[in-house]
Amino acid sequence: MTAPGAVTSGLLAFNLIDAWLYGSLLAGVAVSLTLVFGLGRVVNFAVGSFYMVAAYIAVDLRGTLGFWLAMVVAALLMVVLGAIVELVTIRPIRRRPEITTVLATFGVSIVVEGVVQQVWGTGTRSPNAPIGGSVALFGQDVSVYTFVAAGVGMALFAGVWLLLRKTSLGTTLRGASQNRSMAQLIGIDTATLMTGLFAVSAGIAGVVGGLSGPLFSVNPNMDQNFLLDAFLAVVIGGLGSVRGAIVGAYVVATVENLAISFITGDIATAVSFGAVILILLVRPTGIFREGRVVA
Amino acid sequence: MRLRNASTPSGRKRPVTEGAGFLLVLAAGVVLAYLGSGYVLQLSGDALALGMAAMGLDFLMGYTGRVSFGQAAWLAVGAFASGYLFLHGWDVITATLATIGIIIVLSAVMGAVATITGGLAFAIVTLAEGVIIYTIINHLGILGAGVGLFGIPLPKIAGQTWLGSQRSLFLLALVLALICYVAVRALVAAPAGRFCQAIRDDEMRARSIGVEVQRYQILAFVVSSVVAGIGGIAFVVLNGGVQPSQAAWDQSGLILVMLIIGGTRTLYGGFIGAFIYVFAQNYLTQSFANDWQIYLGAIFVLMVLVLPGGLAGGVRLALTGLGSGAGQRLRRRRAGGDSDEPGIEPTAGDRMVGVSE
Repeated sequence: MTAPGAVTSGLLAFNLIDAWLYGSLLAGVAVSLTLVFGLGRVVNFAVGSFYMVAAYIAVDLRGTLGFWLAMVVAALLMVVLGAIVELVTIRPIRRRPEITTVLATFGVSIVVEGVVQQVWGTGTRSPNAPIGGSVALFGQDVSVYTFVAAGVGMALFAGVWLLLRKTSLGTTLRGASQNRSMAQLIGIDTATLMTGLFAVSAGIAGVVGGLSGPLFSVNPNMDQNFLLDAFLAVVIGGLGSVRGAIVGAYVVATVENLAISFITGDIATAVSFGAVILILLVRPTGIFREGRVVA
Repeated sequence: MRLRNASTPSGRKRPVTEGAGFLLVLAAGVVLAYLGSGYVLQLSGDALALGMAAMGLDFLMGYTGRVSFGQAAWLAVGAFASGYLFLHGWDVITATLATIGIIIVLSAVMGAVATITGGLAFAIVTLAEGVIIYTIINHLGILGAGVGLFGIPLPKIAGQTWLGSQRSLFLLALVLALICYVAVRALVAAPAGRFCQAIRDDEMRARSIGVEVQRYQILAFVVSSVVAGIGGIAFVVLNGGVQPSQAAWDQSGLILVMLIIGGTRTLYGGFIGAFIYVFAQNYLTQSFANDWQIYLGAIFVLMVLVLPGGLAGGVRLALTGLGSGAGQRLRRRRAGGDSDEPGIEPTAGDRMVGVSE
């Protein structure tokens, strides 16, 4: 953004606010990915696709429905799409190893990217924020919408957290994750649970996609970086660890934004990914040391 | 059952199809070299280069059980390193050796990081590492600072330009591919290769009988990267240049697609997939235009779901289906979990699930 050495405290603070925003958006998705993984060792490499398609649909429907309703409708459509993807590509390979699910969902993401280019073209769209105005913070203008979007993101993962801790469905989910065959034995339909969880995680990615349109641009490549960031958060948080995924999301977002503050140009990406990966050297089982190591 | 398979990697059951596959590729290559037009040779050379990257990935994925999403980056490292050396007047043999050296060092470090945790983390970390390599290549001034390398002179051996025609460049690529194939095939049968397969079949069991799991996974990653890098050398020689986009993530995904379509656990499946991809892309894009990617993705998903062994596995299935006992083998395969399936195996991890909060 600016030349190295010209990092002002104002710019740094601005980038940290950006980190908080992006971390809040990533966290909900990272949590849902880690839950899907914990329940059925399913890896959803198509999560970026749900995010991207929802962003496009939200832009398209905005004219008729208004921003917020369009976002909700887009997210609901992603729930349906997520359920279909799970039934068609995940359920048939339930007995195969987890890495097969990476391949299947990766294939889905190729198809979706092709469809998106077909339907919406390859151009970039930059919708306006639904809420105008900005707040002066540390000498920089931060748009009000940034705070709203970050708030919605935080509400998402807080909601998942509460669902997991306070409801009977959450108890069922945690139990089934800890011992799947025992859960089946006492009559829990883990297959349906999986479909539901996968669909919800697609829906969460959909909400985040709808929110992201005005923040970042909407284009056919937006799925890739998002996918990578979300999974980096899951991995450094420790696979299967919910609080790890939340903290991991903020770590990834902070490291990336700090790199942009101090390093000019695209090399910042390399530095930030390198730094994130190095966390694994110190904590191979995640930030809270509770992820899975084997297989 | 699985252990037996691990100890007989190229097995008593299928030496015929494997030898036949190899000879078929060789024969097709030679016939191509003498009958193909310049354009066909150009495409075939590219397919060989990509096929080498896919074969490397096959060793990592089909034989060691780890999926990498950064394979194209290693092809690019090979192409850029050797391209830089060719531009500075290096000879084919010295440039190749130096390039291999660079890749061994780099991939050993990156492999050590990627293998710290399990399979999913490996896929993500290799993806991130691929992005890092891409960004660096895209950034470095000596590698063209985003434009790439071009105008690379025809390769020299012992100070002489032996290879002038399109045909001779294709033959160079063919020779490199065959050397890699034979070397990796030998590795598969060697003790180190068998340890890798033991890890793939059951990581916990391998660990418990004393296999140093991470060490062999790093080895597999280095082998995979070196083979891809040699593919990169062929690529840069054939094209006279290379662009940074060759290292990008989509390219890594494509190599994975080629391997899955061609067939894992064969070593030649990657070449089949690469040829199909390169020729289909060049001859079918006119008729299918933008739908192309959709069909490719759909075929890929279908392969993963229905034919985990890819085309090579399908052919093998059809061939063994003609023999006796095929029905029995099929039923076992349907039942799931039988290690005959030339894809990836269920692991002990099946029983190791857990969410902690």
